[in-house]
Amino acid sequence: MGTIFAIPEGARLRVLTVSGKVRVTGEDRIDIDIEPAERNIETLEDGHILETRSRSKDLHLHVPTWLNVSVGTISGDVNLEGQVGSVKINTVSGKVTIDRANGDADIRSISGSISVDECGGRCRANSKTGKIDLGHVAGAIKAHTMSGNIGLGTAGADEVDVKTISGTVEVLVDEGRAPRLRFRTITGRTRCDCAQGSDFEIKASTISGSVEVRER
Amino acid sequence: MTAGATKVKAPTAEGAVVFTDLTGFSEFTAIRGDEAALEMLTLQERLLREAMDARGRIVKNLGDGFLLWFPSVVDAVDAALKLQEKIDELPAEDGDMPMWVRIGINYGRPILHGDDLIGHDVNVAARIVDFAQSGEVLVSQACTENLADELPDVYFDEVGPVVMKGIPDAVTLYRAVRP
Repeated sequence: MGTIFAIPEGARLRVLTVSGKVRVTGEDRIDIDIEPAERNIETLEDGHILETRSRSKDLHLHVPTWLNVSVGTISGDVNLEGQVGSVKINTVSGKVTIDRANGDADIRSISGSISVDECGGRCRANSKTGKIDLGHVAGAIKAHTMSGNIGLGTAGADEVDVKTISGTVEVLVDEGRAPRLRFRTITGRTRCDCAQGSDFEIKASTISGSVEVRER
Repeated sequence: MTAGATKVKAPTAEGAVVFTDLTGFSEFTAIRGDEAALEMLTLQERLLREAMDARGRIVKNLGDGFLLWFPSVVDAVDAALKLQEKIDELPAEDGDMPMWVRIGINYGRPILHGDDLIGHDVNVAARIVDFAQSGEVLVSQACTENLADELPDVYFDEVGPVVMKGIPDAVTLYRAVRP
């Protein structure tokens, strides 16, 4: 048990660390519990932002499942457990893992890997060398890497845009959804094993990587 | 500095610092060769100069990108978006090299060092571009605070805080979008 903070209506949680790990657990509650207990949460920007900072100490926050969460870190790993609202995460080398974002997700890492089990909205994921793994995304997807591999699952309701220079791309489409495909590659291989149609569009561009689309 | 010497304040150039980065260029060069790579760079520079429309200055050619400076952040954001729009209009045939450019913009008072720019605001701009996806224009909060609603057709979508090594405050970044 840490220290409890009330949440002003419409506020977003912002967590900033240099190297400390960030763990956020979405659960059935109306306030925020932060550990270690001596950590403070400031209310900024007329109550729109709740901010907590740490250099190297790890933070664990228990939050309501509807809370929107932003995290900025240089090398700390970021782990969002359970459900949260929308997420915005930027890290240089930290590893990002998310169980479920009910809203949109925008995750950017330079060398860390990105893993999202479920996203209920649109999802943007960007990593230079890290792997991107998006289990199932309800909305539009933009996933770009330079050399990291991309694996993603789409509900097939909105556009999927994947780019990689040399990584491999694997797209799993929900059963019964038929994508229109736009592949672009220089030396890579492309393959589609699912029915094609006009339910939504998959744009996949690579220089030397391979692209594979399959039904889930 | 010797005792009694007068400290001369370095000249600054208030404005927008822009970094562009052509991603995948090394791989393209390895596959298609130096001649094709040179053609790609020439095309990129032509599109860039058209987008800039003499409103800013190419400070430095960085090989597969540029350092640019604009006195007006409005012109910087508009030119960056125009460059991405021009790239989007290029023919997209399978087998052609896609031109993937990402752009980062910061606003401040960099120091003039000959024709070059140096300082904190330049360093921040260089780090912003690292977080951009290809096709994106990312700008710092310092940019949005100086825009004063002068780009009514552009909206700025927050992409969250970025903690940068050696910089005490997090920088909030926005994606500039012209629908």
